Order: sequence, then C-alpha cells, then structure tokens
Amino acid sequence: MSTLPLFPVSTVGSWPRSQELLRAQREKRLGRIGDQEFDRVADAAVLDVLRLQEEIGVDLVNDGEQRRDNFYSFIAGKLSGVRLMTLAEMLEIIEDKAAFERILQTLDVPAYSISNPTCVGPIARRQPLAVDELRFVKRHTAKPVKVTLPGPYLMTRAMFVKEATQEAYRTKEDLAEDVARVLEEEIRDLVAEGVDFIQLDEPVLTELVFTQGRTRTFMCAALASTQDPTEELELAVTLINRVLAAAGDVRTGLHVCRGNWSRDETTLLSGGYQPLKAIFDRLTVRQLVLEYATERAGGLLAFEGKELGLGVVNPRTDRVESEVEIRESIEQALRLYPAHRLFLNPDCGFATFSNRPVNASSVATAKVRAIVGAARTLRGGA
Amino acid sequence: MVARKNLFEVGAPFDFDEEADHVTALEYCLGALGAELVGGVKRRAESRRMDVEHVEAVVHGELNDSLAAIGVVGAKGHPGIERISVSVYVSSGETEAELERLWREVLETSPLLRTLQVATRVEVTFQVAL
Repeated sequence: MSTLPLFPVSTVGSWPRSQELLRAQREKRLGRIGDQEFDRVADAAVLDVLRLQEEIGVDLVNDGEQRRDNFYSFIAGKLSGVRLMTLAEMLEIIEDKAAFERILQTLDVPAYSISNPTCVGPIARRQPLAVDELRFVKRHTAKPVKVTLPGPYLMTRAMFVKEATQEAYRTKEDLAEDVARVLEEEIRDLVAEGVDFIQLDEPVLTELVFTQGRTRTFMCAALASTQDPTEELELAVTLINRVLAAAGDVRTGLHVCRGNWSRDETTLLSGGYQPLKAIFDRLTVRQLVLEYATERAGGLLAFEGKELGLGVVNPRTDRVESEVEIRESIEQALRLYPAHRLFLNPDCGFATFSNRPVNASSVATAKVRAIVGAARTLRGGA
Repeated sequence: MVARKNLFEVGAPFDFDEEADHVTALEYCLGALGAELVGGVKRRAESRRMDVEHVEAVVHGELNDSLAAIGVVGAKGHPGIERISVSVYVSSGETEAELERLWREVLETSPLLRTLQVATRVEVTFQVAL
C-alpha cells in the first residue's frame, strides 16, 4: 500500500450522484440504455468524484459507489440466483405482514425506491462485484484505493427470504456458506488487483443488539420475526472472519452504523457500541469504521489492537462541523488510541441509497474538507 | 359492501389489533384518500403521455381521542380524525416543474381530499424520488 500520512482521511463509501447519473441508473433499470451507455455516464461521474477527493485532500479514495443503486442491492446484477424484488413484491410473500408494514413506516422512503436482492436459486458470481470498479479507479488515480463490499452477514440476512429462497437453500446458514464463498473469491480478486483497503459493511449488527431481535429495516425483512441475537451474532462473527481471511495482509475494515436512510434522526437506531464490544474484539478485522459524530453512538470505546476509523461528521445534517470540533473529537480518541491507529471519516456514506441521498455534494464536500483541515493541523502538531 | 358491480368486505369500524383479518372502515377511508391521489397522478400522467414509472402514497391518520372512539366513559376528546398526513412519492423522467404542475391539478380536483380538508387537518406532501 502507498504510504498513508498520520490520521488518514477517507469516506465511508457513497457520494451523492448527479441528476444525470440518477437518470442513467433509472434508464438502465428500465432497459432503455445498455451497459455501454450507462458506463459512459458512470465513468464520468466516478472521475468527478475522484478528482474532488484528490482536490479536497482525501488520502484513501474510492469511487463514491457511483455505479451502485445502493450499498448492497447492486449485487443482484452481479450474481446468478439473485433477483431484485421490490418491497411491494416482498409484502405479497412475507408471512409477517404486520411487522413488515412497521418496517416500511420506519423507513421514511417510498417502497418502490428500494429493492431487495433476494436469493431465488443457487448463487454464484456471474461477474465480479467490485473488481471492475477498482480497476477503473486505479487507472485514474495514484492514491491508495478503498473498496466497499456488503458484508457476508448482511448479504445473507438480506437475500434469505424464506418463501423465495427455500427451494435453493433450506436455511439461511446454508445460503451463508455460498455467500462466504462468493465474497472470498471477490476479495482474492481485489487483492490480486492491488486494492489497498477492503471495507465490509455490516449495518445489521446494530439491529441485532438494539432491537432485541425485532429488526426494523428491510435488510432483515424476511426475518422480521424475533431472532435470537446471540446466535445471530455468532453467525456474523464466523462469516466475517472467514471472509476476512481471504484478504491476507491487505488492510481490512468493518463499517457498522445505526442506519443512514433518513435525515430524521429519531427514525435511526440509538445506543453505544458496548453491546457489540465482545463481538468486535473477536473479529480479525484490522479497522473498525464507526460512527461517533452523534450522541446516538454513545461514548468512545477502546478496541484493543485495532485501528479506528473515527466518524467525525454527521453525513445527514446541513451544518458543517468546524475543524475545531473535529480536532476535539480526534483528541478525545487519542486518549484511547495511538495516533497511528486513527483514521478519519464521516459517520457513514452521503448517499447510501442513490435515489435518496442524505446530503448534497456541496455539503459533503465542505464536511470532508473540514476533516482534512483538522487532520492536517494535527499532523503538524503530532 | 357493494359498489356498482363490485363487492368488497369491510371489517370493524376501526381496530387496534394488528392481527385483525379485515381492513377496517377507518383504514378504507385513509386508503381511499391515498388511492385517490395516486390514481389522480397516474390518470393525468397517462392522459398527457408523461413518463411516470411509480407513484406511491403513505397515509397516516390520528384520532383525536381513541378512548372516546371505543366509548370509554370520561374520555376527554372526540372520536373524530384529528390529523391526516399523506406523502405522495413519484418516480419519473419528467422535470420537477412539470410534475409539480400535474400535482397541483390533482390536488384541486380530488373530491375526497377536498372534503376531508374541510373537516380536519390534512397535511399533503409531494416528492419526486427517482
């Protein structure tokens, strides 16, 4: 990996898409344009995001997930045995419709705007999940590159819709085997292509501990009825560690947040990372990419031997955090972490769902610029 | 219920049991409001050959005093609907200005909405969400 400075700055992944790109995504979804035409628009958008990160001074860049409709359902286009199912379609087949309706109410988004990648047959990679994205970025930047992938537990939970999946996989544990295999293959390919940082996104872990098994998001819609959080967390640890092993010496991260689908903070989960600490301690991941910019995240915790990707700005507000505020957050973290183990980032993506960004690109730019400013000041004094 | 040549079943006037088998009269009322607005957008978009992919409404209703509705002695309020909120989402390739124009026409010509607006507080929002 290219050398990183102290307090490396990165984003968690998604960046707001332009109207042109959103329209291209829609046209592609409707079959009105092909891959080539879509790539023409998406390539230009990725280049814009790359140049912006370079201009701001981001140390570890990514493609802003510009080609993806959201952080995990894009896999439907890359895997065989997976079909995008609208929430309306899922409502038809889900047994516990009342629980599902509660989830829809929590979401604060139109049901049509979200599709769930649902397993409907044996899964395998038809094409790489993110290797093409990596290749394109590496061709256009000399900076270290981060690639984000949905984590194996999230993928399993999202894709296992009992009524649609059981013909291919009797249990979600059976499906998890193939999910892990797919991610292992992908990660090995990313490593071979020279990726610098692989981040797995596992937002569902907070669901398990903060909702006592009564999940609130579509990502767990199929399993909306009560699950045993302890068993689920065990499954998550096993899967994540298995997949991480494929990364070898490449730096890995695990991003865990409490939801990023709305600017209405009251609809998002709340609570510190303490209930997950024992789980995090057992993970072989090198870095935990965590949100800490809102009170909902609770107090800072020390995770022995791990790097911390410290969330220092809230991606969902118009107010841009000052460099002073950000420096104060970093200085607090320095009481628990040595400087060389601190990375800086926003709490989450700025547009987790492409059609429902939580902020405008201009605000996102100002926020990341403030992080870079704070990091540079601290580097000078470190 | 029979309406012209169509037959449909209605459950209790209202029901707080999530497992209740039938749609209540109150839910039909709120659902009808959402359907009126969604149908209004679709119909007008079709007649103008506008490119509208999805239309969806989320409707919430709130009683003034649910205790009054179930007949609790001493309930302080009344059983009527205190507030209705409707969010209508549309996915379309048209410009926002064109969609706003269409939406204003829908609002002006929706019988149920206009009636309910006289009787109670109705908050309606319209969002373009690709």
